[in-house]
Amino acid sequence: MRFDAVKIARYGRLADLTAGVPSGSDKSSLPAVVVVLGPNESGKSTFFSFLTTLLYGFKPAARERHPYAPWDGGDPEGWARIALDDGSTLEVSRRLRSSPTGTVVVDGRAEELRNRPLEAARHVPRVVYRQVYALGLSELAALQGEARDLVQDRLAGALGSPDLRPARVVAGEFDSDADALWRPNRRGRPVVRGLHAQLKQLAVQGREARARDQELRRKVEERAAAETKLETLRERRDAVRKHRRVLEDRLNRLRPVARALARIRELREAGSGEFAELPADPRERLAALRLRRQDAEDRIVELRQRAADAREAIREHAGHRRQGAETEALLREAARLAAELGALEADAAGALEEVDALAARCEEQARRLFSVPLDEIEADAVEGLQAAELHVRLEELANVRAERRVAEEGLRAKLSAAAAQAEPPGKARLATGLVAAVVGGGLGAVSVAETGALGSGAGVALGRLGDLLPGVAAPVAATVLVALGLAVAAHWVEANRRVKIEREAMEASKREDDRRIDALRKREAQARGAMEAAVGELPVRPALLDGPDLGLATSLERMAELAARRKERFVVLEERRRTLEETRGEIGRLAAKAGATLGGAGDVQAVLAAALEAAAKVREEEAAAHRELERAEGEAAEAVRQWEGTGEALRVLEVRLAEFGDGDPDQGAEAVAERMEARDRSHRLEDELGREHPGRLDDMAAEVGEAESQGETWDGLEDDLEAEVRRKERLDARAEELREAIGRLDSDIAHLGEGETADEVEGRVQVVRARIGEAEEARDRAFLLARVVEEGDRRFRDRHQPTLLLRAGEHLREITGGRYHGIKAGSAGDRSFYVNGPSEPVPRRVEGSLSQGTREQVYLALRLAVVDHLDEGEERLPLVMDETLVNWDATRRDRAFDLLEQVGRNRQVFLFTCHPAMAAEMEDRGAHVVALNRSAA
Amino acid sequence: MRLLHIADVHLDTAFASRSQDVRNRLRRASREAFARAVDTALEERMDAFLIAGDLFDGVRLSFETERFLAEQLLRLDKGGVQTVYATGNHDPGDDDARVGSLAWPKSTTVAANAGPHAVPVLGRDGQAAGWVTAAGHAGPRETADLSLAMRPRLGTSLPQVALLHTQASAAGGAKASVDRAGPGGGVHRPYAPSNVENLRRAGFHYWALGHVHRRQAVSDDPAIHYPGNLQGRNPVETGPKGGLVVDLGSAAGPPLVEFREFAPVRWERLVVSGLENAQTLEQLVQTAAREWDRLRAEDPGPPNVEWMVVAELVGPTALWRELRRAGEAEVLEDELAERLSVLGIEVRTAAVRPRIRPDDHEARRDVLGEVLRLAKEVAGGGAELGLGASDFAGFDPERDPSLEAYLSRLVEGGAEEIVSRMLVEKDGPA
Repeated sequence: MRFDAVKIARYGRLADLTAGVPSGSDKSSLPAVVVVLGPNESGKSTFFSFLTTLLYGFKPAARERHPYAPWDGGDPEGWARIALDDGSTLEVSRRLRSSPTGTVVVDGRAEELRNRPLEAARHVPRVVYRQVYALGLSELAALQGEARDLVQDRLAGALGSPDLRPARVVAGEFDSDADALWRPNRRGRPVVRGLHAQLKQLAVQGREARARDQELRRKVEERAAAETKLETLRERRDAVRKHRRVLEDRLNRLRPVARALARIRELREAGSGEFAELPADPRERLAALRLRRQDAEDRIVELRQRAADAREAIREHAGHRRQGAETEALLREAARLAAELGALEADAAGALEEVDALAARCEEQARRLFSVPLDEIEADAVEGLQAAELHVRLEELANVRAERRVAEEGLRAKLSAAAAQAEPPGKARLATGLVAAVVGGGLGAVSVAETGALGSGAGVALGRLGDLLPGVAAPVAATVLVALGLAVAAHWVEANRRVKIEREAMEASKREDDRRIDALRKREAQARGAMEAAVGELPVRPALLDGPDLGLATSLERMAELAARRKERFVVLEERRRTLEETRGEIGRLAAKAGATLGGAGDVQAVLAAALEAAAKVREEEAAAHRELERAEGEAAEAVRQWEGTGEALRVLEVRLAEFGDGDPDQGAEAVAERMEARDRSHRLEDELGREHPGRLDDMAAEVGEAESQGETWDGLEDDLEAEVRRKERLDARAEELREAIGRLDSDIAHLGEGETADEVEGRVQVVRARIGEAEEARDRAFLLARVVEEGDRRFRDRHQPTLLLRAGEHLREITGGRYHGIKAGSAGDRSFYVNGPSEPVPRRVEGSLSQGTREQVYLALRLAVVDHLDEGEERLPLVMDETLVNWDATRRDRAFDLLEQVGRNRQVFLFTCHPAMAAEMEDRGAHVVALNRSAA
Repeated sequence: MRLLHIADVHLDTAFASRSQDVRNRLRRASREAFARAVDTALEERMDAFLIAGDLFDGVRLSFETERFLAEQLLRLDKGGVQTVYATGNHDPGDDDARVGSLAWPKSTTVAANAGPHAVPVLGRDGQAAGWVTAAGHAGPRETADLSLAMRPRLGTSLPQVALLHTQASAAGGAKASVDRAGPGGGVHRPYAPSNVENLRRAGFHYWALGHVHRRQAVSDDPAIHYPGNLQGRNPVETGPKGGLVVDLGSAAGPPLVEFREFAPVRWERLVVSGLENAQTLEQLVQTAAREWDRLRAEDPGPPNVEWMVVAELVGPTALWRELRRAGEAEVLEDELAERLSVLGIEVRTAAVRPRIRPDDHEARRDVLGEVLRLAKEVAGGGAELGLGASDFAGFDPERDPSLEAYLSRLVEGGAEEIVSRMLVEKDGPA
């Protein structure tokens, strides 16, 4: 294949670039070697991309993502005419719009190409073409990465069958499978490593399971030990319970019986002795006898005292009886006087009544006459009143007074008559007359007004009045009224004149009467003085003296008379009183002598009766004393007899009791009483026991005896029982602790039993081990198969790869001038190349042992051989070399140029350089130079 | 004399099932089997209950199992059944943590060392009904032939039984070191080896042996029997498991030996082939279910038995890659366990292969042909890959005699996988 001509419409920075003659009859094709000359950044790489695109289409196939989309915004577009190895020609044009388009014209027949590769280039994948057929300085050093592997594989494929996948890939897959399962190093996370980690974990779990098993066994042993202890505790507790029941039986059933029996025995012993002749209660009996004897003694003393007292009473009563007789005589005399005393008292009382009556009358008279009480008036004044004188004077006074009174009455009558006649008429009457006159005048005026003569105002008023009267009557009425008023006024004046004359006459008469009356009054005053002198110093009431009459004299006379009589009767009264007092005094003396106290004379009889009664009582008491004396003496004799009997009984008893009390009967009585009490109590206890345990007492007594024979003392049973109870409580607590411990152990055992056992873990270990074994074998198998494939591949290469290396060796001999002529590949796993030559019989490793220039010569030889192999038998694709020879010296470069010319016979070569000299040199050798520059770009 | 002969109870075995529920069930199953054996001994009024070693499995007896064992032996004691127990390599007599620590009932005789221990067996009438001579393993690696010292009691015409945990030379095709006894036989190391001919000549009427887990009659006259283990514990211990009821009513003739199944769980191996056309896991499950139904039609097993199944998927299948994928087998196991109504199932997919036939590609002159030829060399043990034992994680010299043998085993079926991976199909790798 050779590009005859290319035309770049727009591609990256390149535009309107033409190489070769694109059309016309005079076609001028590009030669086998084309030099693309341009400085850096002038578009050499763009040019190579354009060639690749023409062969393989746009990649990427989207304009917006295509790296060589034109800068001016147009579509990448270009054209080429290509001469194929078989001599035919095709024209290809491609354009990248929104989607790529392409056309190929073969023999004048256009075919839609779209973005497909040219059929003539299909045998070399685009990636291989880009990486293998474009040789830059750096790419030349080694075939790198995928490209190299592809080349290697395609080399094998080219020599084998096309239906095989690369052995390298298959071996890699096996290795990958193997590495996923197991690795000899610590890289990655292979399956076996994970399984070993599980094994480690299971080993831990196994240890834990074994430890759990040990712990389980230990717990079970502990539990068994605890059960044993618990059983022992149960036995001990049963023993304690049994002993406690024995104790309780002894305490509750036997001990009371035992104690009762013991008590009975004690009481029987204490109650031993003969007490038949002794009373049931000797102490009481002894005390009773002693008390009875003492009572008898006391009774005797008492009775003897009673007898003495009776005799003393008899003596006293005899004295009293004699004294009473004397008193009785005195009182009888006093009684006689008292009987007379009544008459005396009656006389005195009569006199007294008279005096009192006279005194009352005096008082009454005095109150009427006098202005002070009678007792304040001297008796002589009353008694010395001159009644006759007073009587005369009174008559005189009465006469004068009567005369004066007549004169005064006459005067008063004259005055009254004068007053009644001479009284002037009243001013009212005058006023009435005047009013009537005025009204009448008015009324007349009204009538005039109605005739128009009067003024309007009065006329109106009067007109109103006139309205009330008939029209003709008004003037008449007015006239009448005026006349009446005037008449009344005249009468009033006349009357007042007559009254004044009468009053003056009366005044003269009166003055005469007054003088006469004054004379009479003087006489009356003189008469009064005389009268008052006759009254004397008696405080006669002034009123009686103001108008005294003869009755006053009579009253005063009567008063004097009553006073005299009262004085007389009072003397009689005093006499009678003296007699009476004397009699009363005698009675009192007699009573006092009789020893009586009288409240009054009237008491004498009562006192006498009392004295008589007392005398009778004394006599009775005296008799009674005699009787008491007789009784006391009799009872005393009886008491003496009793005392004697009791004393004998006491003596006998004390003698008997003294036998039990070391001579002391009291002690003996006490001892006997105790013994008898003990004996009785023993009997009662026996009876009680018999009732409490009917029919069993003997057996119980036997049990008691048995228990006592075993050492039972019956004391401290409560303590023993309490100790047993505490002991049982301790055992119960301990048993509870053990049960709880057993419960905990059961729980622990159950818990421990839930875990995996060692063999279960071991089972899992075996599972994992089996999986490890399987994984390891699977890995080994994959690893082995990988090695088999690799080794088979190596053997195959050793057998067939020399063709390529021989060709490369020829190239190497060409460009090294025969120094090296052989290239060999390393053995399996060694991807180095080795060279040898006439002067280097031992192959030398290219990397690390050859100079830079020689290494680049080796790489170029290999690369040329590779591309020859890649498209051997197919269309030879153009080769692009980018400054590949820039570091070479002139000699090596000449040899390289020679080699390129040889290569160019079969394959077009594009040589990219920025060195014009190199371009010129190649141009001299017939190469076509396509000049690029920055501005052109 | 009638006796019940059991062996290899392996109480407290550490089961390696993926499911803990299954492990727990298998653990209980061993006890249930033992209890059933005790029930039978009591119900059928056996004179003796013989345990021919390996009563325990683990290095340490769990407390729970210890109590269980004590209860069961006490039941025998109370039921008037004598127990004679000869220790084995799994439960040696010198182990204070197990045999030595147990409180054995009075009627239980423990032969914890070479002995031999002659135990008179009393019949139900209280009269001697026979003799049991037992020898036990004192240590875990008894190498002596304990049977050599075991001789019948002299001077008695009563039946005489020998009780021993041994690897009889003819038992299960035993070989010198490691024996693959085939299905149900298991691998048994030759502890306390004995020679069958010696056993025959010893003079006992019945040899009650233990150690080999596959039930078998080593000899009929005289009778030498392995009852097999009481409960299968792994996929190779398939079939009914239990004990032997031995009737030695007459010393003149051979005893009557009758197998009784006690195991509540049976192991079964289900080989599922013909998966070429299975395109989905469901189709694969259906194929497996059909095969299971066919097997159960032939041997339904006792009522209420629970099944532990190992399903080996064999042959080419389009599902080989899915079946190899991590976790896929577990999904299949769950699905199959439910479909087959079994206690547990283990699916093994190592034998499935791609449907490709490697032989068709071996002649290729490209790299695939080169690789396949090399794989065949590896399988034949003749390839030189420059690999050492340290390059492999799972190589166990005790299991695989040589690295070449290990690689040969590993590469088995590998050619198909290589072809499958290397061939380019239409849309990518096969």
